[in-house]
Amino acid sequence: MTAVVGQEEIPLSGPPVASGELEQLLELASRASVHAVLPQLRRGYLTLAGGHRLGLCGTAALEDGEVRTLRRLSSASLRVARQISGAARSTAPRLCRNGILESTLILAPPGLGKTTFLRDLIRCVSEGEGVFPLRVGLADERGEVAALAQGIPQLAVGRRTDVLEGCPKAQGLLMLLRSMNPQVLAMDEITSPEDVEALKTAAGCGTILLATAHGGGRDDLQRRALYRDLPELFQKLVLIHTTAGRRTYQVEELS
Amino acid sequence: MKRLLGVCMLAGCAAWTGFRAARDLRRRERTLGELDQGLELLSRELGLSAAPMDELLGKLAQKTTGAARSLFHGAWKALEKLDVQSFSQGWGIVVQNLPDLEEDAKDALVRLGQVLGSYGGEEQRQAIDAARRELGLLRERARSEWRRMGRVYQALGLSGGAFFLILLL
Repeated sequence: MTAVVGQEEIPLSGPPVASGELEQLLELASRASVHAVLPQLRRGYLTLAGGHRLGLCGTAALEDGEVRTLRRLSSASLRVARQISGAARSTAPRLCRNGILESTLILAPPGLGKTTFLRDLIRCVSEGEGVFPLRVGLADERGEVAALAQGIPQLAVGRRTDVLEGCPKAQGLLMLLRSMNPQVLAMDEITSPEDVEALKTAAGCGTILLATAHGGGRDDLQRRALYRDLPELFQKLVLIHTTAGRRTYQVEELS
Repeated sequence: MKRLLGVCMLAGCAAWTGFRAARDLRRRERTLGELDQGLELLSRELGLSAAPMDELLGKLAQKTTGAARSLFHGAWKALEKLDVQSFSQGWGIVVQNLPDLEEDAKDALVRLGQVLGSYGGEEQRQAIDAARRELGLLRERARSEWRRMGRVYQALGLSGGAFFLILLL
């Protein structure tokens, strides 16, 4: 067992984790409801109350070439979600033109705080902190941004934010667009062509977009085929860097 | 006077024993019926909503009656102790404490508890169906036993009571 804090991995004492303990961990994490978390389990992780993520490894059971479930668990990774209220407060005004937010893409490698920044940016827009207040629709497929519990966000995303959790992002964006009349649509992690298509549809309807994507820098927008259309959809780009353990947010014009 | 009172009490006791035995048979059949209805609801809810177990059990504890309510409410409470015992263990304890249930029925429910919450919805529904089939057979047996033996026990109780009355008066 180890704990990763920042860049450091600290070994923890005690005997190695046994398979039975991992089964027990899964039962605890799913609240004895594997059937309810099976779609997530198929992707290798569960989102827990509070937005924390439990990654699991084991033997995949396949059916028609698709992962049906994970058996004989071999290891687990718990990623603790953190809310940093105010993370986007000073950056938000720089994402505006005439006080109105422009479509913004947040680009950074994994673990640098894209989701944390997006969550706080949503809160700022929804509450009108540093920007003009707008209604936000959030497609939170993995429940990591708002972490709904009994329909109540466990992490602050603002009063004017409608959260659609558990639904595939692309589908969720279109559902929000049709049903909630959002002025801003937000989603975490652009990972598929369907996501990009849904963003195009939303942009075509005049909605402001907020999204994150994995990437080391602006060059990735040209290098990765999936990202090539994104500069047409977003006006602002936020790049996250760490220098001396502190995060800095660099804002660039995209189009 | 005291003797008459004693004899009446003895006769009453005999009759009560007979009626109680008949009532126990009837109650066993009714308990199995309540459990069957409860499991049918559980299966339906699993198929419709795939809601987490605490939501399902909480809802069913309100919707059901008798033994099914005790089972679902107890299992719902057991979810609070997942850090010290598995769900199947908690379910098993609740099943063992259900009154008016024979061992075969308890075994069927304990086996069901080993599947509930640990597998996909479809597998759980199959396990519920299997448990319902077993409980259905036991219920049929309990019903025919009640029909066959219920009257016999009542008659035996009454005759026993009458026997004491005649013998002792």
